[in-house]
This record gives sequence, structure tokens and C-alpha cells, in this order.
Amino acid sequence: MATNGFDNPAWPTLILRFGATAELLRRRDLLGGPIDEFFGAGTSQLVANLITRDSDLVPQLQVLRQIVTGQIDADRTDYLLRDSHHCGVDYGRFDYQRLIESLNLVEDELGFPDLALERGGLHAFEALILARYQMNTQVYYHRLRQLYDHYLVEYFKAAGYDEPPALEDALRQDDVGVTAQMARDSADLLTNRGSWARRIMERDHHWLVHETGASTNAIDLKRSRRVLNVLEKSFPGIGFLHLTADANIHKLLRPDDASEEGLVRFSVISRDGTARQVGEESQILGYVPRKYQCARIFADSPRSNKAQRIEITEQAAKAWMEGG
Amino acid sequence: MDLFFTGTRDQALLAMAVQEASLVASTRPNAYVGRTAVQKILYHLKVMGVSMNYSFELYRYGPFCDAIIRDMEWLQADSVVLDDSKHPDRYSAYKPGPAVDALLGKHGATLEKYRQKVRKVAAALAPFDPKQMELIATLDYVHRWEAATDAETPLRERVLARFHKAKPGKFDLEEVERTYDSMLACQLLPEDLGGNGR
Repeated sequence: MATNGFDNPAWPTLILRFGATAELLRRRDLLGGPIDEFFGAGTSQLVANLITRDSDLVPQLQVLRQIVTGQIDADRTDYLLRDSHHCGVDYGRFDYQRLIESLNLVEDELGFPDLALERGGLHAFEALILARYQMNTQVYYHRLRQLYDHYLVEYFKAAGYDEPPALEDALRQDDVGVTAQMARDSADLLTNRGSWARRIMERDHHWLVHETGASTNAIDLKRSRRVLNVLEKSFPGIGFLHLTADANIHKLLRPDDASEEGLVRFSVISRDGTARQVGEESQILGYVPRKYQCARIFADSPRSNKAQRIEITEQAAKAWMEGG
Repeated sequence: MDLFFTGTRDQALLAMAVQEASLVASTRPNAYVGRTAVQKILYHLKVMGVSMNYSFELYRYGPFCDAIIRDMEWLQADSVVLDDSKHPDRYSAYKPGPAVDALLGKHGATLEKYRQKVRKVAAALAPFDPKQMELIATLDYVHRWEAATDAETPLRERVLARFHKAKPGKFDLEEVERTYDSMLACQLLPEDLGGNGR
């Protein structure tokens, strides 16, 4: 692998993609040793199994996994609040303390323990799901963020970082080092790597000319692709980007679902102790989409040429109406 | 045909699974390749050692992978796979589309060696209807729970007792016992999960 001052700094992405967190936990020379020493031998392996979806976790511990990666998991509860704070937006806020206080256990139909919610925490839970929806649509998959994610990935590819780095190398990177490297690279206008760096450093981005609705299906994806073909033929000198956004908001079972497959039963406990599905109890969850999926077309049209941008946007809208 | 949304090896494997399963389905009356079948075929291929990036969550009604749902959507967008269902909101009936060869061709060298395995798994799962799939998944889950529990009573008795308590009257007693014993005989169930009840 090439090395030239930094290794792949997109390490949060690598952690998600390559299970580096589990490796961090398992390795005795990293977190594994201290965790086992403090909490008892085997704990690090157990925790690594909790976060690894494919691991052979005994059913007795599945309820713990729900806290780590379920519909109401601590990870998402934490990052929604933090991201909303650091982005300076009001989306993503909810009463997390009320939510945590309302968590309880019920027996499922097999007699196994299942995470559930006391009735009093229902509104806090609804707010969590809404926060997820709003943060995904307004922050994580905002058109500009999506564009700059694309630039960043292309920049790293151009720099030769297609493969994940060794864990130790990834851990050595930070934002300051990467930004400094990118600033240096942006001066080099002759290379692909330099041109992606320049886009980021000078905020010279593409222009959104078309996007589908927020619940795109295969038919709409095809249609969007045809719109792109029309635009490429009509404006041969312009470079276009076609990007798709895809996020799961929740997997909660609703009363009108035809099948339970891939969906999650989550119970709300009433004051009399009876448990009902959250999809039956909540008036709001029925309206929150389970996933957010959209396709966008961007044009590399100069900022100064407003008339051209308007022309491309209108042509795209027309092509969409005509079915691409 | 050019591919726009798809191209990964995992997506090609998925397309191969649809191709083989729809061949099997075409030999059986009223059979179709639904969402559950695709999930189960890929899960069993993974268990059998076929390398893939899909990871499955073990739900109580069987293993499930979100990424497969997403990739099926992309495959349809590129016409690698078509959905013939008359009610796609209720069920899917997948079959290979005109672009299937374009995608499989991209990964021919690494993927063709798995074709026999894919064919075998698709054929093995074809006779099971959704109710039988539920029986297998639930027995697997209950077995894992009881095998990790300390108890005096023999494991088999505990598994069957818990199953019948959870789903009274839903399945025929003999069918449940026969299925459980077959799963044990085929070594489909883990033996040692830390309990002492065997």
C-alpha cells in the first residue's frame, strides 16, 4: 500500500465496514487486555460478539445486543444528540433521560426476555424515531454533505487508498493532519487527486439539478437514470454526477404489515402491565417512513452561469415528467 | 447492457441465487422466488463458507440481512433482476432480468466456482413453505437458548417443551419432533453453548 504522509483517514467508515471496532476489542495489546483485566477474563470477547452481527451470540444475550444495535440502541441515541449539537441544528433532540428511565423487559412469545418501553416513555421514543428521520434527511444525506462525501472518497481513491489501512495506521490519523495534506494537494492542479482536493478546499461543488422523492423504488431509480442519459446527450460539455442516498430509519412492526420478516416487535407496557406493540400504540410511527432513499443528479456547471443551471434543471424536470 | 447501480461481487452472487432459484421454481407448480427465499439461500451459502460481505442478524423467525433488501432494489433498477409479482407490496416473485449476464460476467472468474453450491442450496430449500421455514428458525433459536442453560432435564425435552408452550397447536407434534431430530442428525444445531443439560 502506498504511504505518503498519511494513511486512509476515513477510519470511522473503515470501522463500520471492516469490523475494526471488534478487532480493537479483541486484541489484547489494544482494548482487549485492559477490559479483561478490569472486568474479568473473556469480557472483551463477549463485548466484541455483541457488536458483531454474524457472531454466534447465545440467545440469552440477544437482549444486550438490542441495547447496542437495536431500534432504541445507546449508540444512535448518543450520536443523534451529539451530531445535532455539533452541526448546530435543532433536529435530533429528544428526551433521552426519559427514554432510558422508561426501558424495561417483557417476556416474548417464546418466554425469552425482550427490551420494552413503559407507556410513559412513548412520546420520547417517537421523538427518537422522528429525530432519526430528520437527521438523515436534513443532515446525514443533505445534498451538499452527500456531494462532499463523494469528493472525499474520490480524493482518497486518487491518492491510492482503496484498501483499508492497518488498524494502528488508521488510529494514528486525525482531522488536522488530513486537512493539512489536502490543502497541500489542492495546489497540484494537474492530478486527479489535486482536483478533488481543490474542490473540497475551495468549496467548488456541483449543482443539484434533479432529485427524486424521499421513498424511491426501483422504478424511480431507473427513471432517474434515464433523466441522466437525457441530460448527458443534451449537454455534452457538462459533467454530471448521479448519487443515491439510502438510510434505514426504523424497522418497527405495524398492524397493517403483511409479513413480519425483517421487522421488529417492540412492546409498550401499559399501567396495568399488559404489553402491546408500539406500532399499535403510537399515532405517529405509522407515518414515519422506514427508510429514506433518493437519487440525485448534479451538474458541474460554473457558479457564474446561472442561466445554464436553470436550463439544465428545467430540462431534467421535463425529462422526469416524461418518464425519463 | 450497462450497469449503473450495481457491480459488486455480492450483488452478482445475489443475482446468481435468483437465477438458480427461479430455475428450481419453474419446475414446481405455483412456486416463485420470494424475499424470504433469497434471504435464506444467501444465509445458508454463508454458513457453507461462501465468502460474502452480507451479515445476518438472527431474528426469532430466522436470519435476516438488510443489505440484501437494498441490493435487490438496485438489481431491479439495473434490470439484473425483475419482480413479476402482481402485488409487490405483499410479496415478490423474482426472476433474472436481461442484464443478469452482464453482472455475472463481471465476476465470472471468482463466482462460477460457487454455482454448484448455489444450485444445491436453492434446490434444498425449495420444498419448504414459509410455515416450515418458521418451524426451523424457531427450533434453532430455542435450541440455542436451552443449550446455553444449566438444567437437569435433557436438552431435547426442554427444547420441545418450550416450543409447544410458545406455539401451542400451531404445529403438529410429530412434525416438530421429526424436524428437530433431523436438524440434530444433520448437525445443523450447535452442540456446546456452555450449558450442562445435554
